[in-house]
Amino acid sequence: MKRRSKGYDMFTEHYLVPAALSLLNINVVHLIQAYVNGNDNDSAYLAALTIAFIALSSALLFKNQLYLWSAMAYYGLIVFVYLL
Amino acid sequence: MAKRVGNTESNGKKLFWRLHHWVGLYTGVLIGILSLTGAAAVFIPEIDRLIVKHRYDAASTAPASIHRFALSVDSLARKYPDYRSLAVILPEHREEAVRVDLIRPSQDGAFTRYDVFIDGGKDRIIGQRDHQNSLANFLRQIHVRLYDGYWGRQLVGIGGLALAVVAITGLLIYGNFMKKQTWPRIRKNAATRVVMADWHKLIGISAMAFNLVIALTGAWLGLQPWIMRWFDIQVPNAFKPPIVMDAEKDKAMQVHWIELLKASEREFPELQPRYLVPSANGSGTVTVRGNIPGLVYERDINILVLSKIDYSTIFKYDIREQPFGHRFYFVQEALHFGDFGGLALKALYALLGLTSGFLSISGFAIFLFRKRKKKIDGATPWKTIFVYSVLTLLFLTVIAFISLFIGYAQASFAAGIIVNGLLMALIGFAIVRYLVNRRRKSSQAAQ
Repeated sequence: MKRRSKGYDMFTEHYLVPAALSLLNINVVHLIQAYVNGNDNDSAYLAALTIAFIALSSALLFKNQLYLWSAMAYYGLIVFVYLL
Repeated sequence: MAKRVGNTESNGKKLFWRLHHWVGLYTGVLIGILSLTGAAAVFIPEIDRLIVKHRYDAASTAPASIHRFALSVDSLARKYPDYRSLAVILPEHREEAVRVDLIRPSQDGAFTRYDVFIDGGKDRIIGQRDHQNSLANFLRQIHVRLYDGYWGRQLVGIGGLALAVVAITGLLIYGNFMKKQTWPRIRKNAATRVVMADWHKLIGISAMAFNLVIALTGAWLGLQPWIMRWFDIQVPNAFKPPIVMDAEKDKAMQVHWIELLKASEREFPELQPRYLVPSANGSGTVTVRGNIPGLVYERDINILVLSKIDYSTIFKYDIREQPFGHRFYFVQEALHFGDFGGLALKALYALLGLTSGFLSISGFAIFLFRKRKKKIDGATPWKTIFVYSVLTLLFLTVIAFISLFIGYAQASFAAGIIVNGLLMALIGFAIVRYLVNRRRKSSQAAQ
């Protein structure tokens, strides 16, 4: 992994942060749509989406590589399951 | 070998940067206009609802969500027997007036479109307006075709393509431009150009995915007439019922609206009817168009065509039962206008939609400050940006005033002259600039 200075991770800043931001864009729209159109039976789905929003936002705040990967994979899984 | 790979990568980055720079520079004003008008366009139904309620004092006194409008519609049909089309638009809220979208021939041989408002409680006509000259129509037409009837829609589509190009190239050059900088840091004590560049990168990457979706769906919606013609694509839910009677007899047939809505509920229970369109061409049908709640598709694409005689089903189009191609076709407009998550989603769409406008202004500022730094241009960057912004707002305001107080046709004519005149000037400038630069380079090479 190429590091340029102490505390600075190029892979995280140049690739993971833009990827997480892109997923966060989609997630926010998805979350609002689910809350506005959802019903009581969807509470587990709404909770999963809300957790994904919190995970993506906090991962961007902490910028931990593993956390960013996990948050993105978690939201990707929710979308995949939803599409199925 | 490693050096060659490095050079190729560097050349690629340079190409992406040049694309980002030139496409952004030449289409920045267009993207800025579309961003501003788009942010307003997402609220068209809400704005129009307020105008109808307060300006036309049109509201419904219906005690429940069942509206009565049979007598009013019948009186309109008798008053304007030459009508070309008459559609009843059911309100989404109880207190809203029922509308009739009436199109009839005007004196100059063209057609005029009216919105007639009906009190759904008393079944009484309470007002009307010229649809073309309404603020709702201005907001839609300025965003969809810049009020230019010739090829404004396609120009907007090209603007969508340009936004897609700057979004993708922006992503590709992001890392190179960030270098050691971290997201979301802004260097506040640096020069104005650096601060603007920091904001440009921060906002650009933060809203990149949203802007890319808006750009691609906008490009499709704008270029749709051309693409559909070139690739022979048909509108998926198009249906033409056979002609079974004389057109006049068809128009004279009474529709029992309550029976019709009952039949609609029986045949298509999930459908929320919005448009009720009785035929006037001799097909003897009533077309019910509406939405299925909770789905992310264009409005009013679900269709139920019923017979005027016995309200039996002639045609049914349920988007949920359609192939992927149909669903993909109808998801575009919903994704573009954010019309699937209530007011909260619309507010988010407006906010994120304005980012492309900010990016075109900040991109232009970076360009102007860089030019001044290189002493290519002595003009004050902020003054130049102010002039461009004021001229853009002036264009939008003048067209709005002409459209609202004089007429749609005159506004469209004025917009056509301004838009096409500016387009010709821009293309001419780009060609002259290219030729001058080429000549300068060849003369430098000869020396």
